[in-house]
Amino acid sequence: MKKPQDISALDEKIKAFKKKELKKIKDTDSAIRKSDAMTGFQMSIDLISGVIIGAAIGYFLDILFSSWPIFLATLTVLGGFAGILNIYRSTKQEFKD
Amino acid sequence: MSNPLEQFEIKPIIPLEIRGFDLSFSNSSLAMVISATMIVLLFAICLRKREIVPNLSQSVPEALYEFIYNLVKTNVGKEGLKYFSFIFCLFLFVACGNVFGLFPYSFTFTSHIAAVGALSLLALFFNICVGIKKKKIGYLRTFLPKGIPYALAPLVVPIEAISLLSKPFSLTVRLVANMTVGHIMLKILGGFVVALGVLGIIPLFFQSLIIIFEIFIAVLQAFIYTVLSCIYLGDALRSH
Repeated sequence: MKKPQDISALDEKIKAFKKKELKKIKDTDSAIRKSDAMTGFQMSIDLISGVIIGAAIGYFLDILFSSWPIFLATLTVLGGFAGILNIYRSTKQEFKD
Repeated sequence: MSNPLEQFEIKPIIPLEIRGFDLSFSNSSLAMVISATMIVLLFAICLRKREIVPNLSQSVPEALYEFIYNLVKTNVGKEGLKYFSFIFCLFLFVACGNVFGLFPYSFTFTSHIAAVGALSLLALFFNICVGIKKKKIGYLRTFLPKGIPYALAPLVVPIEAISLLSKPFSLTVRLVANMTVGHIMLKILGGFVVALGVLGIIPLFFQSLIIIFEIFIAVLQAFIYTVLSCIYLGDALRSH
């Protein structure tokens, strides 16, 4: 039969080990996301995807309401803003990490 | 030298057309079925004998499980653990698809926008459902964050909606671009190996290095896809 202090010492050890492992995962995770080439590629995709999705929605709305090119023009510009917003959020997340 | 894009062609194996829709069982579908079967078989064989102290084969799926578990815990938080099984399946499916595509005569379904896009849309739909389940009508706050005057709503709501809808698109493009570029590079170098004859040993050496790099990229891209899905799930669960 183990003594209670032995068990609590083991418990402490397990907790410290788990904490160390979690930190390791967090470090690897942010290291991968922070590599320069990866960040550049990610940001360019974030920006472009906003514009493309905005333009696509605008195009279909124009077809739906026969209002060419009001929605396309408006939503493409708003898509650009959405792309910038995506970049701002992902950068904020990286700084937080 | 054969066309490097030929490897991405979808060929129907069992042709099927219902009301004008092409629902054929293609080489892409076969690759997905093989990937899913490989995952199930790997887990079934490795976890055949379950022991408290794991042996080598048992520790492989356990290590994978713990790795993704900690990933979800770090990026989404404890409340995200409820959705762990979805994230775990997503990671395994994408990773297995990427790695399976590296085998000769196989097919990389993760290099197709339609396949990955459908998966990303499913992830987006899942995130929206989770957000609505948790915050009910308050989920609509995602489109108009707190502190923004209502007068700006006509401008902010479309921007936020496009930002939300562009997430699966950027997820898809990132994975598809990485997989496509890697496979095209391998094919072009492979063409040089054949065309240069004896001197083909030089591109062969580089190709061996690129294959090692591609295995790393295949797992890394699955990891990034999972991390970003976790972040988007975290965004859905947390208020702005």
